[in-house]
Amino acid sequence: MTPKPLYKIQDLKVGFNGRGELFHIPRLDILSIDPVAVLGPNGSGKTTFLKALSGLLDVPTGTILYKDIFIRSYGKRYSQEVTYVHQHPYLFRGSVYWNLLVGLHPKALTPEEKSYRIHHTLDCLGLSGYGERNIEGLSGGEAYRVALARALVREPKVLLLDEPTAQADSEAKKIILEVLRQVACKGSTTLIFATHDKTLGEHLNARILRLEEFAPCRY
Amino acid sequence: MRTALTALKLIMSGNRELFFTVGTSLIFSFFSTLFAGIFGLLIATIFTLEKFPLRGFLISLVTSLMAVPTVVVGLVVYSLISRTGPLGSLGWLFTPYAVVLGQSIFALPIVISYLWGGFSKLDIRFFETIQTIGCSFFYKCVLTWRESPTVLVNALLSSFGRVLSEVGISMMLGGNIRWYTRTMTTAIALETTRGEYEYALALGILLLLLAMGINTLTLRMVQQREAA
Repeated sequence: MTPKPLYKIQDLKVGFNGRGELFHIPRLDILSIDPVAVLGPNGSGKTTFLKALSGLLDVPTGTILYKDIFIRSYGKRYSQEVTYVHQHPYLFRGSVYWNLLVGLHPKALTPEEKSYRIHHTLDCLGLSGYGERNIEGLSGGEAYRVALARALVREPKVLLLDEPTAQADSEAKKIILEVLRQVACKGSTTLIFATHDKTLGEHLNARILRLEEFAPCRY
Repeated sequence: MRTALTALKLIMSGNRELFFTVGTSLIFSFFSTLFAGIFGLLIATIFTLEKFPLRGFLISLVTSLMAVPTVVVGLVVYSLISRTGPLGSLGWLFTPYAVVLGQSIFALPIVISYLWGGFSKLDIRFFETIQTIGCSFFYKCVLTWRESPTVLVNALLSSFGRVLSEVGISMMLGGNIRWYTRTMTTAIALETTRGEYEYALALGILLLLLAMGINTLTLRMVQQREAA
């Protein structure tokens, strides 16, 4: 039996800053089983596509259905199930722990459960002992891992990642790949990520989505 | 020169009435800024986080209200709390309540404009991040305030400075009553017309020092923010 699509995209046309149409997706179903790697050269609209899926971007033309419902109709529940991590993420003023605590905000957990979940997530991402560190002193790669931890600690249904390994050094890249592989294997979170790196998609056995195939004669 | 020296001597002597007037001004300004701060913070945050019809119009209106002269605010509040006005039964005219009410209304657009201006300059990724976290509106407000401490302090200090140096509202609604509603600015106006230049100048020096202190603090906040 074919699983029901998580996302149904129909006739999605996205333009950007008056540069005409970036891509036009006549029809696309994203299933909840496999991770999806969104590939494409610079400016092909990978970030725009992810933002459209996350609900951050209003799409003027076309429809995006999440579990057969318009994402706008989902309201706050949608943003509680779907989390987006920027390529250069924004971290809140204060400590790493605070950032993860913010990520856990609407969850009904005891302080002990929250603390356990935060420390466990930090450990998984090679950030043990980073809890009390201020975000000011973090490198770009560390900041991305903190943002990834903030997203993972929420245990979202869908995790949208923009260039998850772009800022990571080889060691951090290994850690991120391993964590993402575990998330993908666990099966409770659907990974959709934009990347330049084809190997990342291969490593995670991801379905490849090449945005240039949907571009109107630009390449 | 002699007037200036006498004014300084008056300050140094710790003249009771002089410092009572200074204290009255500071207390009025504190409470006005506090009330304007509470309401202004809520309104500015709603302007920043929520999209609703007429939002742009309301922001323009609030910004325009910054330019309203204090006597106009005084006149409007006077018509409300005068004996024949709708709030006349409160009996607030020529009391500290009237001055604080008028000054709060005067300070509100100032606080909102400063706060909204500051909040709007937050990184776009901040707004996107709080949206994707799916938290409540109240929690979004808390995060916004937490990310902008200098904006908050800057808005409150600027508002405090403006309220401290206004004269129209205090005069019209407070009535410049000695040992009760007389503020620094109304006292300066009165003493000058009475020819008591030394007393007026002493108050002027103190007002100037307070205003400079507040401006220096505000400037330092802005510089620190820019450096960060």
